[in-house]
Parts: sequence; structure tokens; C-alpha cells
Amino acid sequence: MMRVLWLSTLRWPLRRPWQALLAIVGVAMGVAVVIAIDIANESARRAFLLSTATVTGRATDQLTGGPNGIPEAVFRRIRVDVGLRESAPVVEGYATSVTTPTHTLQILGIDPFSEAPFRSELTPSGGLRDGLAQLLTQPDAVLMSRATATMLGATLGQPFAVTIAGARQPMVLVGLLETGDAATQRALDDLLITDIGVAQHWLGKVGQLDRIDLIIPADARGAAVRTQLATVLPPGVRLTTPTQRAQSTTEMTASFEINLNALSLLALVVGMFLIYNTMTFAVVQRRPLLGTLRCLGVSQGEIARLMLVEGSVIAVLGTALGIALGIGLAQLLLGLVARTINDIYFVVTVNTITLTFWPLFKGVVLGLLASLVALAIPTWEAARTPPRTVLRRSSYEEQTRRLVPILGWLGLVLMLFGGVVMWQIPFILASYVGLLALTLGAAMVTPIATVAVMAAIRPLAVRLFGLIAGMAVRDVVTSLSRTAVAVAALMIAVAVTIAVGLMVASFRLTVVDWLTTTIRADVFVSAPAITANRLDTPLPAGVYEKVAALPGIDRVRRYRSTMLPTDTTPVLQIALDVTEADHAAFLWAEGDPAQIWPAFNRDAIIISEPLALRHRLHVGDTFMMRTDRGDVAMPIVGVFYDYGTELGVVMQPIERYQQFFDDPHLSSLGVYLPTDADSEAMVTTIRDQFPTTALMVRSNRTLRESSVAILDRTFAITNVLQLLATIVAFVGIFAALTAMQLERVREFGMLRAIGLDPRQLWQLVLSETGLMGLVAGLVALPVGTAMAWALIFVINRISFGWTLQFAFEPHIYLNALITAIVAALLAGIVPAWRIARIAPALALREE
Amino acid sequence: MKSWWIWLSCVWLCVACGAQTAAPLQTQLTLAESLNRTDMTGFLRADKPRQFSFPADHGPHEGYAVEWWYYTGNLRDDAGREFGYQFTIFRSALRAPTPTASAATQSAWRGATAYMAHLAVTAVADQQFFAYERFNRDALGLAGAQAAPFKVWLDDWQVVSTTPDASQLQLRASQGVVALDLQLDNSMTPVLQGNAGLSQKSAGVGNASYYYSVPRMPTTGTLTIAGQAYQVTGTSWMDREWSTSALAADQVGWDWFAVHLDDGSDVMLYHLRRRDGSIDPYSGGSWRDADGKITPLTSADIVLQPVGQWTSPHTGAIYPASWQITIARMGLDVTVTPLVADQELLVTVRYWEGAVAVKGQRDTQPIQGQGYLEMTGYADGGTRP
Repeated sequence: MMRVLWLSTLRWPLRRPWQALLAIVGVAMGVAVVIAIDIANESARRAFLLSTATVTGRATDQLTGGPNGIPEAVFRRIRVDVGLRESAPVVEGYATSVTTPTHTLQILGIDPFSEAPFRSELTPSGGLRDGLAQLLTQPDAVLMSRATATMLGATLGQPFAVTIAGARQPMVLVGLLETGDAATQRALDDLLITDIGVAQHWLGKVGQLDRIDLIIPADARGAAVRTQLATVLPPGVRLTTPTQRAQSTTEMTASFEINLNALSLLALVVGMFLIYNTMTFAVVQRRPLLGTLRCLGVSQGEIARLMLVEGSVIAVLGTALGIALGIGLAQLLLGLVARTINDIYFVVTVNTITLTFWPLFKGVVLGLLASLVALAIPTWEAARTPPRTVLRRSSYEEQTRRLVPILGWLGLVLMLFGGVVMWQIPFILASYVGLLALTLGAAMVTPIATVAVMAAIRPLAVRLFGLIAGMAVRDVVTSLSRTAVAVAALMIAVAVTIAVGLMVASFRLTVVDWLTTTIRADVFVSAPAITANRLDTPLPAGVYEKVAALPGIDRVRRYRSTMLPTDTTPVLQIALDVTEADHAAFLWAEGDPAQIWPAFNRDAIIISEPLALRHRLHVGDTFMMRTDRGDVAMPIVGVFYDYGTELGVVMQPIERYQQFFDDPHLSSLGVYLPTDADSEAMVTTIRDQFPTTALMVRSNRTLRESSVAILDRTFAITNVLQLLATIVAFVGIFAALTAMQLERVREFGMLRAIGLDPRQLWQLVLSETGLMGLVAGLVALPVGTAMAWALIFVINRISFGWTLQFAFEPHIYLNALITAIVAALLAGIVPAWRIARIAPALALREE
Repeated sequence: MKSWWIWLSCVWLCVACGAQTAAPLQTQLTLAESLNRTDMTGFLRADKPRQFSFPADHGPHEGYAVEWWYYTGNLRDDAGREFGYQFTIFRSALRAPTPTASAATQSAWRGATAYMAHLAVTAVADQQFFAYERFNRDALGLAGAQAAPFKVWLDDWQVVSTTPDASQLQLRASQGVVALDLQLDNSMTPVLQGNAGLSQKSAGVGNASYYYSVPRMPTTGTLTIAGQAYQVTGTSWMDREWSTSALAADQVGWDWFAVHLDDGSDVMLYHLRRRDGSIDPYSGGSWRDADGKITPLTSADIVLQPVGQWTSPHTGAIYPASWQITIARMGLDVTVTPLVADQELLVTVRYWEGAVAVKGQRDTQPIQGQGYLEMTGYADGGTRP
């Protein structure tokens, strides 16, 4: 008996391979999106930590300095005066491949004489022996892994070039770093090792060190060394641990990662709907068969087992496919994630994904669990129902219709709950729980909304389009058990589209407004940097003087931006010239402009809104600034709106900065021209002044455009995720509609037999699916708006500390509505085509 | 004589550093090839006798490729415990001092000179031997040498003059369990070795070094081993040498002796061994008697006979266990015996250098002495120039 039972189950998917396939694809898509994001994030984080670990080696402690690093003389004091032999100076920087400018390389300048206790993987056997000697003796000599050499097209002993700070830097490959160990080899990828003196020269850091790595034993001798160090270190140089440093850097991207994860979870929610939908469908469709089986004496348990086994096969196949897809997708997303991190946070050299256990495990668990949960309800329902009732489809529809209002009320309550949570609990996790509640609530409201919309448009539809339209409207309602989930899934996907669209639009609007207010100079001069959004490469010496001396210029504003370490995440320090003309460039969230500027020029600083929120700072508080003269408590006199970085900005006059920091460098210049001057002409004039220097000279317009371009770039990954969610939803609605329409072959055969022609059938099917799309789209409008509100005013504010304006963009709504309807119509084409092709007699013979 | 072999035949720089660290060999690198020292373009050569001038010549001679400051000494404390020490700082040019410096020399790190130093301490009573090695570059004051006031240093290892004329020196170095803090009396007139300080090492003009010694430096100070400080006195020997090229291709190693005899004579002897086992005729030495009279010795004057064998448990190298020295011209016939058998330096290039006792006869009278013996070219990798 049992064998026959299994065979009957086997027969089902074989007769409907499309349906089984769609179910598998549904599971796979949901899993893929979630793990792809996870893997991409994890790969970027690991790449950063791995490269940090590689370049840190066995150091227990590190000396770090201010924005200009550590004066190199400090190293002599440690070696000669303190006699701490296990100390290694490091100069670091970044380069990019000449042929692939998006490929980032890390330059590590080391002192070969100091290296051995620290980074043995950088000094392995083989060709390196000669290599290290040549680092000392040959100009522009580098070592790298074979993979990196291949990527750069560099061969041993031959010159090649990379791009450093926008300029071509020739170098010679003198040795290959080779280890047998794959993990170590991986750590060496994209690493260019050179002598510290060469690195200083290339990176414009002559006279300075980025850090000094130390090995200080944890015993009494170590304690004595620490005490002694304290006496010889200049005030700006600090003893820290590599872990602290890496941690505070990776924490910079915390908000970014949370937001990506949230978006990927949203995709999973849509995916779960899809799985649920598919599974429900598999059961609903088989109710007659199941009923027959029950009548034949198959027990409830056997039925349940049957369904679970079948579902499990789909879940396993889907999850496996999803993981494969996810890994592929991760590779695509990694580029976007890495670019965003590079654009706004720090330089990470990551070009391949790293597969680790947790993202994959998470994917497997989510895929299997979601499938089984989705399967459980319909299975339970099918097994429980008495055989006679099961045979009647109407019984199920009746049940469903009874459930609809209850579900609607529950949904409403859930939405309210979500709103309250978001409104009242200012924590990012709570916000996401609220958002999830809002989303699920909205999904639960969708069936009743469908009923309501159909009731509302039915008379109109009949009057305008006749009987067929009326039939279509009624069919949507009568087949709710099969359509509700698909419609809800589509609704959520469309709502996400609206929400993300509105959020991006709001962000753009706010930032563009802000840029217009803030970016006032006519021409900007800066050095090329890898971190597009920050100016961390100093201008070559003399540029300011030369530009300031040019005729036809009103004034030149100096600007120095550096990353300032704090006890937690670093903040952006901006030192600048502020004259009265510049006051209008600031919009104040807190503080009285009349008092701000005198105090600012005296001894106070101003901070950005995200910093104020993140560190709970207000006007009147002080900010502890780590300067080269030691820690200085700076009074805060104003909080300004800023959308440059969520890490926060502290701003001070450049004269004061130069008093507190041994940093004569400038990051950029703002050149102000007389009112009617041609700024593009001035761009050319300035460029011509520095024919051999890699300088970025941009007009106000160009800078603003490129700033917006960077902003758009950071949203690229958001858009990809949004698109993925839509695709998942589309697959869902496609699967649901195909299955639903095919199931009704007999009904359509009857309709053909009583006189409907194929064209009218087309009309009927497409009207039905189109109506479902319409409902999904209509419900998505308010839901999407609510989600946008949550994203803009709750989540963005909590994670980034930004006050955004709400951009109401009608075209986003229109696009969403069209997307919903078009997606649904597209999904209806295949079933309509198949149904119209079937001869009525054949269709009727089905039974 | 000293470490030609280390710096010229086979100039090794150990990037791993530290005789203590476990994996030095695989991280060694040969500078010889990259420097291509066969190309001596741009360097000065020791090709003719020169006028020595002190204290200026205590300082570095940067036109020459290599140079060293070599201190060895036999010490004892009040309780009669015997010790030996070796402290050497080597200078080696990374490139010729050409006027066309590369662009990267903008950075202070890109100096043209590297330094290496060896520190070894022998505790005779405990039959212990400790040796350490360091490297650094002549940049930012990390390592270097200067004539006035005299100072030669690498990290915190240093020899400095405590008087303007450099007649008194302080030697300080510590690593691992050993520490030296010694005062050396440098007031003796230096002995110019070879032909008035020009010491020919192999055939060909310029294959020589400038070489002077201060054979007797009364020494006092503190020697610390494993936290135990000993107040010590004794006699040190300083060797100074600089050159650009010296050894010939078939010279595979040498044995060098610096001996203080208790009749007040100081003897320096070396012989260069050739690949075929013969002794190179450029071997030689000098005899300084108690009155300060100096007698140069040639290879014909000296018979150096190895006696027995000592096999290194570390490298498997086989060294002579002791030596019989006969200098008929001076009536000397003595045995030189290591105070500790194992005084092999396990540094980048392994060699044996240690404190020795001297015992025998001079003109039928019994005579004793002490000193230092260096034996190179016995360990693996060092047998070929």
C-alpha cells in the first residue's frame, strides 16, 4: 500500500514538472538573496581582518599617531634609547591596478631588518631571500604573491606600474612571496611589500611612520618596557593593540551592514511567502487526490508524511540550488559592497569571496525551516479535513473566506504594533522588528483588501468591459485560497520598491540641497584618493601657495580632513578656513549662529548631527580630541546638518588644528572667484599650473555631480536588492498563477463548450491576473509609504543620525503600480496561451 | 684578520635576526649576489700604504665597502671566575657612494649602509656560551659610527668614548640573558698590521685591507649572566679593519689568534686556508713585545698545527680541538686550548670564536697566556667563498 502511495506522490510532480521546478526556484531565490548578502559582507569583513592580521603579524601592541602618523625619530628612541628590539616600523598605503582601476592593492612598507619577529609569512623561503636584499638596495623594488603578480602582469625582475594617488608609479618586481598554505597565500594577495623608505617616498610620507608594531611580553619586563615607553613617547603617539584598531575600523561599517542584512531579510520574507504559496498550492491542488486516498483508507499520518516528504525534497533541492545561486550572486554583490565601503568608510582590498560556515549554515536553516513552516499549515489542513469535505474544493474556499476578515483584523493589529514599536523604541533592532511587523501585517490585510477592491470595481468592470470582466473579478475572489499569498508577496515586493525608491529619493533630495548649501567655492583642488568620499591624500606641498598666487582669484579656502581616533569608532576631523562669507554654508540643528562663530574662532568646535546623536553630545558639552599635544577637551558650540559621513564630523579652524597637530598638509582647496568669472576656465588654468602633479581640479558643478554620483553608487546595492525582491515576487506570482489557471482547465473547457472563443479566454485569464496585480499595486501604495516613513525617519536616523526631508515622488508610485500590473500580466501569459490552445473536448475529458 | 669571510666571501644579512629565534636560516638572504660585490666600481681600495691618524681612524671609512670594530677580551672576577667576551660591529655598504642617488633616497631610511653586530659571552666555570646577532641600517641614528666623539653602535649596543681623545671607551651591550658594561683603556698606541697598516690578503693590488690593532686594553666593568652581575677585570683586544676586496676565490677560511702572553708580549697570527688544504702564503701576523717593539711575521715564520677534532653538536662541523703554535724565530712553542669547547656562534654565518688558554715554552722557559681564537670556514655553507 505504502509503495503505491509513494508512487502516486511521485507521479504528481512528474506530471507537473513546471510547478515542482517553480517551487524549487522559489525556495532557491529566497535563500540565495539572504546568503549572498551575508557572504558579501562577511567576505569584505574577513578580507579586512585578514589583511590587518597579515600586516600586523605577531605584534602585541602598536604605536599609532595623529593624522600625520608618527615622526620616524620615535622609532630610534624605541630602538636605541629604550632598547626595545622587537619593534617594527610600518608605512602603509593603497594603490590601484593601472588596467583595472577598481582593483585595490595595499602597499606595506616594512623594514626588513625589523621584520622577522613579526610577519614571518612576509619572509618565507625561496626567491624571497634575494628579494628582501633587493628591497634594500634596488630603487622601487617590491615583493608580492604570484597571484598578484599575475593579476598585475608583473614578471620577476621586470618593471611595471601601479597607480598611487592618481599617478603612475613605476616599480620592479624583485621577489615572489610563496607559501604552501592557502590561507596565508590568500592573505598575501593584493599586497605589495616594499622597503619602508620606498613606501615613504611613494606615498608622500617621507619622515613619518603610520605605526610601529611592538611585541611586549606580558610579564614584569614588559611592564617595565611600557613604563619606559611612556616616558619617551611624544604626546600624540599612543600605545594601542592591533585588535582595538581593527575593531574600531570594522565597527565603522556596522550600520551599513545592518541595513544590508535587513534588506536581505526582506527578500527572505518575500521568499518565504513564495515557498508558502507554492506549498499551499501543492496541497490545495491535490485535495481531490488526497480525499480519494483518505477514502481508500490512507490514514491522516500517512498523508501528512507524504506531503512532508515531498515538501522536504523541494526544500532540499531548493536550498541547495539557492546556496549555489547565492554564492554566485555574492561574487556580484561583493564588488558593490566593497565599493561602498571604499567610497565611504575605509579601504578594503577584497576581490574574491570567502566562504565561511555561518552564512551557508544560515542559508540552509532558513531555506529548510521556511519551507517546512510554509508546508506545515497546508499539510495539517489537508490531513485534518474529513475525506468527503476534502473532495469538495468549495469547502476550502469557504474556509478561506471565513478566515479573511479575521486575518485582516490581525494584520491591522500587527501593523499598529509595528508602528508603535518603531515610534517608541529608539533601537535599530526594534525598528527592524517594527518594520517586519508592519510588513507582515500589511500582507495579512491584503486578502480582505482584495475582496473589498473587487467588490468595489465589479459593477464598473461589468459596465465597461462586459461579462468577461465581471467573471474575472468574481474569480479573483472565489480563488482567494490560491491567489491571496501570491498577491501578498507581490504587494510586499512592490511596497519595498516604493519604500526604497522614496528613501533614496529623499536622501538624494536632502543631500543635493545640502551640497548646494555647503559646496560654495567655484573651483576645488584636491589630491586623488581611493576613498572617493574622503580626502585622505594630502595635497602636494606648494599647491596652496601657487594657487593662491594666481590672478583672478578672490580667495582660497584651506581644508584639511583627517580621521580622528576616539575610544570607539573614528570620526572625521575637518579643519578649515571660515570667513563670514562661509557662514551661510552651515545649517544648524543646534546652536545659535550669533554665538557659534565667535566661539568657533576662539576655542570651540562644531560637530555634525550624526556625531551628536551617536555620542549623545549637545551644545555646551565638550568633545575629547586626541591631538599631538595630548587629549584636549574642546567645547561644542554648534551642531550642523551633515550628510557626508555617519561617523560624525568635528570641525575647527585650520590655525587651531595646526597648533594641536603636527600636520602642515592640506587636503583640498576651495577657490572663490569673482561673481562673473568662468570657473571652467579657472579649472584649466589651475590644471596647467601643475602639469606633472596628479591633482583633481573640479568646478563646483563637477564636484556636486561627482558627489551625487558617489551617493548613487552607494545605493547601487540597495537597488540590486530591491530588484531581487521584485524578481522573487515575480517568480512567486508566476508560479501561483500558472498553477491556478492550469488547474482550471476543465472549467475553461466548459466555458469554451458553452461558446467562449479563445480570445475571450485570453481576456478572462489576463483580466484576472491583471486585477490581482492591480490589487497588489494599490495596497502597496500606502504600505510602501509607511515603510518609507519607517526607513527615512526611524531607521536612517537611528543607524546614521541623519535628518532627511521626505521626497514625495509621484512617479515612484506610478512606476510601482505599473510594475505590479505588468508583472501580473506577464505571469498570466503562459497559462492563458496554454489554456486557449486546448481543445474544449480534450479539456472536458479530463475527468 | 677577522671576518673577511663573513663580509666578503659571503656577505649574509640575516633578516630573521637574533641567534635566539628559531627559524633564522630560511630567512637569510645573500647580499653578495644582489650587491654584486665583484663589481667594486665606486669604492676605494686598500691598494697602498696610508698615513693613519687617530682618533680620526677610529671612525668609519665610508669609501670602502666593509669595515669592522672587533673587541675580544678575557676577564675574571674577584673570585677567580673566568669569562670571555666578543663584541663586533660590522659596517657594509649596500651600494657604492655614487653621486647619482636614486629618487627614493629622499627618505632617510634609504641610506647606503647596513650594520651587523655580534655579541658573545663565555662563562668558563659553567662551560656556557651565549651568542647574539643584530642588524640595522645607518639611518635615523639606528646604527652607525663616528670618529669624534668616537661612537659605534647598533640599536642600544654601543662602544663610546668617555674622553675626547677616545683613550677611554665604554662598551655596553645586552641581549637575552647576558649584559656587558665595560670600560676599555684605549690609550696604547695602535699596532699597524702588515705593511704599515696595509694587510695584503691575496694576490693583486687592492686585495688588501687597512688593519690596525690595539692589542692590550686593560678592561674593567660588569658582566651579567642570567641576572647575576660579576665585577670583572681583564684585558681586551681591539681589531680594526676596512677594505673593499681582499680574499681570493680559492681561500675557504682562516684561523686567527690573538694572544696575550704573560711575559707581556701580544701575538696576532692568522693563516688562510685554501681549498686544496694548503696554507696561503699571504698568511702572517705580528709580535709586539712588552717594550712595544713590533715584529711582523710572515707565513714562513709560523707553524700552526691543528690538534684533535671537535665536532659541533649544532652544525656537525668539525673544528680543530686545539692548536700547536710554533714560531721558531721568537722561540715560541705553545698549545692553544679552548676554555670551553663549544664556542660556536649560531648566527647567520656559523663560525667558532672563543676564549682560549695558552700554555707552553718560550726559549725553554714555561710561558702561559690567554686570548681569542677564531676559526671560520668549517661549518656548512661556509666552505665556499
